Amino acid sequence: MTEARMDSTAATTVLQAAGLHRTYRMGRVEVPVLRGVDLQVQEGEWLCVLGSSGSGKSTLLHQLGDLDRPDRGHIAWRGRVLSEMRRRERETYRNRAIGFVFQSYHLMPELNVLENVMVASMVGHDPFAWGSMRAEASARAEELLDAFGLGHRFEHRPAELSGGERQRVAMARALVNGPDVVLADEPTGNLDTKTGDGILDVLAERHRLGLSMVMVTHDPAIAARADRVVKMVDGVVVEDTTST
Amino acid sequence: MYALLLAFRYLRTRLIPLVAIGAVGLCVALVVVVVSIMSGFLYQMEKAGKTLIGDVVITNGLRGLPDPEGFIAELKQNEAIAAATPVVDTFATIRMPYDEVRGVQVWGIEPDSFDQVTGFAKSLHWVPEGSGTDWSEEDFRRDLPPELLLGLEEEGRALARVESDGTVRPGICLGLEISMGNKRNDEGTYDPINRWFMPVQEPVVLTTIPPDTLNTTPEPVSIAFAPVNEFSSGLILIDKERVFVPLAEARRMTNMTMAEEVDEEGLPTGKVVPARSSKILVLGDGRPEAQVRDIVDAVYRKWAEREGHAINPMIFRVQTWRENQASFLQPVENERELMRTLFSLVYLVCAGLVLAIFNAIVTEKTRDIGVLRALGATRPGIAMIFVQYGLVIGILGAILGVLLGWAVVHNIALINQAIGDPPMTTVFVLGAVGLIGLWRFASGFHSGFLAPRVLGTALMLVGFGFGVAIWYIKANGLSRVIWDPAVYYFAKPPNRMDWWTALSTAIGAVVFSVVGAVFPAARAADVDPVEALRHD
Repeated sequence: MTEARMDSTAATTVLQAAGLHRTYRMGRVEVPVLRGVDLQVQEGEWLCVLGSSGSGKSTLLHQLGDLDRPDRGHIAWRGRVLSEMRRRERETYRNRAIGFVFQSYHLMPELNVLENVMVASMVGHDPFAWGSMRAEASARAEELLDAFGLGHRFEHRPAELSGGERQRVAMARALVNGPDVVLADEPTGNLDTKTGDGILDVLAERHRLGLSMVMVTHDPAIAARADRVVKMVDGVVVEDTTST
Repeated sequence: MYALLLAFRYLRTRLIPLVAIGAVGLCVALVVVVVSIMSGFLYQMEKAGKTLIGDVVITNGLRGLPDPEGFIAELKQNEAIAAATPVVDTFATIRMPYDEVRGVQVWGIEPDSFDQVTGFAKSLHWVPEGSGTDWSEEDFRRDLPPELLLGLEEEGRALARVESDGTVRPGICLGLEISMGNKRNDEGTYDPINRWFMPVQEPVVLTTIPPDTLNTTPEPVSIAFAPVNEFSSGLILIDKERVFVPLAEARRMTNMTMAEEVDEEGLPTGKVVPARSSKILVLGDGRPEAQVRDIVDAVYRKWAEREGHAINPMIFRVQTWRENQASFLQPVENERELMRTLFSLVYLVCAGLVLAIFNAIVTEKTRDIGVLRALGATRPGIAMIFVQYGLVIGILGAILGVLLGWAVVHNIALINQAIGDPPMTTVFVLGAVGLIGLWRFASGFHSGFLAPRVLGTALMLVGFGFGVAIWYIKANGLSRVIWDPAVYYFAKPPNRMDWWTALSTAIGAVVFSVVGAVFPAARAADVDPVEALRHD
C-alpha cells in the first residue's frame, strides 16, 4: 500500500489517475482505448473531459468510478489506491465517494421518483441498519428533489417525466449520499439545448457549493463552463487547460 | 433492502412473474389434488377395512381355530385386549325372496362381541335416525314408522327374529348392495325400488358345502334365515357380497360345531372335538396394533401348547388388520406413492419455469443491474434481488396452489358433477366468451392488427366450440358423471385434504423456485457493469 500509495501532491486532490492503460479485445483485434492517462481532480474543481466519440473519455470515467479496472496504472481516491482496497471498500467508494450521472438517466422504471433517489442510500446500508436510516435518507432525497424543482413529483414514475426532469432525478440520486465527486457522462446529451442548459445550471450551482465534478462531453460549449478542460484524442490527454 | 424492494416491484409491475406464480400454483395444486384424492381414497378404504375386522386377526386356513371361546376367555385376561370375537367365514349361495340365486361370503358372528370389536351395530341400515348410518335429506327411511325401525334394529343386533308364536328364527343381515331392491342414488344413499325393502317375512336360504376336513364326501347344507336387517360398511365391495348370520348356524354350515371325536373306523374315542371358528378378531385397548398382535400371538401360542392344540406354522397367522388387508390396501398405497413421486416432477417444472422467466428478466434488467453496481451494490446484493424474487414467487405460488388444491379437493363432488353433467349456464357462459372473441376479431379486422384477430379466433374456438359440444351432450343425454356414486366403491369422492402433502409440496415448490432463481441470480451478479450500462 505504501509503495502504491499515490503521490497526493496536495490534500485537496480528490481523485488521481496515473498512467492508465485499457485495451479491449474485439474478437481477435485488440483495441487500445486508454494509453497512459494521467489526471488529477482537485477538491471543488469542475473538470471537463472533452473529446470526440472513441477518444476514450467514457472509459476514463468508468475507470475513475471503479466500474472498470485499468490494465496498467492506478487510480487513487484521496491518496488511497483503488486496486489495493478490499472489495467492500470499493463498493463503499462507489456508493459514498462517487455519484454517477449518465447520459440516458438510467432510472429504474419500476420505482417512483423518490425511490429512485433513495435507492442509492438503500444500497449503502444493510436491511437492519436501513430501518434507522430511512427517515434521514428520505428527508435528504426530498430536500434534493425540492431543490431541483421536483417536489410535486415524488410519486411519479420515470415514464411520466420529461427528459430534463429525469436527468434532475438522476442528479439527485448521484448527490443523495453526499459524494466527493460527481462523474457525469454527457449529462445533457439526450436533451435539447434549453433543457440541457437548465441541467448544467443546476450542476453549476452545486459546484459553487463546493462539489467536485468530472464531466465528459464532446461539446466545447459545455466544456467552456468548466474550471478546467482536458482534451483527449485516441486515449491520451493532449491538452489540459485551466480557465482563467 | 433494495433487493426486497426491487423484488416486490418487479413482481407488481410485470405480467410474466404473475404467470410464474400461476404456473407454480397450478403445479402445487396438481400434486395436492391428486395425492389428497388418493389419500382420501386410501383413508376410506382403511376406515372401512378396520371397521370390519378390529385391530388384529387370527386365522388358520379353512380348518379354522379350535375352541375360540376358550382362547378368547384366556385372551381377555390380558389388559391389552378390549374385546375379541370368533368368526366363521365361508362362501355360499343365497336364494333371495324374489328367487334370485347368487354367491355370497358368509360371516358367522356372535353379534354382541362382534359389535364390540367392529362396531357392527353402527353399520346397520334399517335403524331409527341417529343410531346408524347417515340419512340423506330425502331418505326413504323417513317414511317408515320409528317403531318398525326400532324393531328391525333389535333384530339386526341380535341376528334373530322372534315370531308371534314365540319361536326364534336365525336372522341374516345382508350387505346393502346384495338385494336387487336397493338402488344407490346420485347422493350415494339408497332408495328401495317400488318401496320394497329387504327385511321381509320371506326367508332367504343359504346353501354351502362344508370344507372336507375328515376325508368324507361333503354334503351341501341349506339353512333358511329371516332377513332381519341390512348393513352398509362404506365399502361397496363388501356390501355387495357379505352377509352376517349367527355363529352357531355358520358352524353348522361348515362342520365347525363341537363334536365327538371318532377313530379311523368311525368309532367314538370318548373325546370331544371343540367347536371351531375360521378366525378370531381382536380389539386392543388403544395401543399400537403391532404391539397388540405380538401380545395375541404370544398368548395364543402359550394357550395352544397348554391345551394341546397343534399350530401349523404354514397356515397359522396372527396379523394386524393392515397386514390382513395388505393385498387390498397396499396397491392403493403404492399407487399413491407412485403418483406422489411422479407428480413431484412438477418441482422441476417450477425450477425450470422460474429459471426461464428469470433468465429473461435478468437480460431485460441488465441496465438496472449496471446502475445498481454503479451505485455500489455488491454482487451478492444483486444476486439476492433475484433469489428473493424467486422466493416471493415460490411462496405466493405455493400459497395459491394450496388454496386452489384445497378448493378443488373440498368441492370435488361438485366439480365431478359439473364436469360429468355441466349445467346449462356453462353453455351460456361459453357462448358469451365466443361472442367476446367475435368482437375482438372484428375490432382487430377493423384496426388491421393481427393480435386481436388471433385472440378473437382463440376465444371463438373455445367459447363456441365447447359451448356447442356441451349443448350437444346435454341435448342427447350423453352426460356421464365421472365418479358415479351409484356404481363406485364409495358413495362420495374423497374430499379429505392431505395437509402434510400440501405442506411438503408447498415447501418443495418454494425451494425449487429459489433453486430455479439461483442461476439467473448468479448471472446477474456476474454482469459487467460497463457492459450493462451500455445495454439497451
